[in-house]
Amino acid sequence: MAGVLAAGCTVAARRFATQAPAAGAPPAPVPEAPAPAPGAAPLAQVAQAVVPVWAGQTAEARQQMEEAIRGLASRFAGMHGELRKALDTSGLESNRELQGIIDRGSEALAGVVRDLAEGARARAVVLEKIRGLAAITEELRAMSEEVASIANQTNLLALNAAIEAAHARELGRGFAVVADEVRKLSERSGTTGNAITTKVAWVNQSLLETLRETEAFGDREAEVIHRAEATIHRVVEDIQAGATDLSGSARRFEEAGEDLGREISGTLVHLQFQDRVSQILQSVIADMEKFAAEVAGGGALDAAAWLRDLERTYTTLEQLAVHHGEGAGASDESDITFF
Amino acid sequence: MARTIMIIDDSVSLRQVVGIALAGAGYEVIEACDGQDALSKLTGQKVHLMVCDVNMPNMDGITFLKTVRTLPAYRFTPIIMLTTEAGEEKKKEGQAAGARAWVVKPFKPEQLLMAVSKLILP
Repeated sequence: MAGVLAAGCTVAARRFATQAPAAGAPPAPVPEAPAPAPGAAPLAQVAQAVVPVWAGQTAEARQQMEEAIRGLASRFAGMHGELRKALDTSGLESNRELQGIIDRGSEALAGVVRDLAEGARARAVVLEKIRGLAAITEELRAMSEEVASIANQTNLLALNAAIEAAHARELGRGFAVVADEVRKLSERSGTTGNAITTKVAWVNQSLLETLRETEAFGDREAEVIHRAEATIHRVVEDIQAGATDLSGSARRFEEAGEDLGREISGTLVHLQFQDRVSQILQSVIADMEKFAAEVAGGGALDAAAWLRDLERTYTTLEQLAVHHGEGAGASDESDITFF
Repeated sequence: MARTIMIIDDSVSLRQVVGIALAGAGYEVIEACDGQDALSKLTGQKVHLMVCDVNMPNMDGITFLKTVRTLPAYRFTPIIMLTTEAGEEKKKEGQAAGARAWVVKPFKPEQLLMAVSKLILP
């Protein structure tokens, strides 16, 4: 930030420095009236005695005014600087940063909820596959029952074959052996079919339990996600409301601070009158001293010439106006000329 | 980077007022209490503009203006005279010495800033 570098001028030197005391220095002693010139008129004696007092009093008043204005200006400048610093640190920029943090936090939390929902969707896919497996195991159960049924039928077929082989006596002996082997195979098929049915039933039961648990977990998870979403929404809303209040307070504070800053700046601008008043008073002091010296010298005074000389010392338009009896007040407008 | 402006005025309060107006607009401000003090502080560093009083002890504004124009580093630095002097003769003297603008006090900060922004070099 831009600022004001060290002034380096601890005490401003005064204009017309030969006459006026520097600020901070003790007031200039009122010069003692010099001895009247021999043959000087009583007016000269009075002028010699009184004018230095007038000049001294005016210089004293001017010095006091300058010191007071300088003090006021310093205090106002300090207030202005402090206010500017306070406004810089508590400005709306920090509120915008806070809003940014809230927005980013809200987005991050929404991302967490999205991830959870994505996980739930993945689990739903697994659930669907498990349901598919359950259907397959049902088919397997039906197939194993079919195997058991075929084994029963085969067993009956083997028994019938054995009976027919017995009727054929010696000629059916070989066929009886085959019928017995078929019966044994049908028994083994029946046993295996039953074992498959049992295992399939167990797998099916396990799958159904897994399915139930997964479905229950999915429901709980959906509930958790829903609650998390609601909680995040509520917390973000609370923070948002707090930030809005904070932002409103900061904006009101900033507006009040800027108003105050403008008031202080305006006050400082008005303190410029000191510079003009100081020059006017310096001019009067210098002329009073000139008057005292001229009167003491005893020479003839030419009023018109005196006024002409005095007019040449003026620097401000008000001085000229007063000189010509117009009595103009200080102007509020600055006159700018570009070259 | 902030532009640097030197304020040369023997009135502390005036320097403060000008300084606040300029610093508030983002300018870096260097102060000097008269022409001599200003010359001692101008050591070749970049100064983008100067705001100078006319009636000052030790070295008045017009003399400073004439002197600073002899320094190569500051020959073309725009200088605004900020003074209670409203006489045409003084203005012409300032113009001849190399001033770019003449502002009669009391000034309004926005008017001074307008003059500064119009004259300051990039």
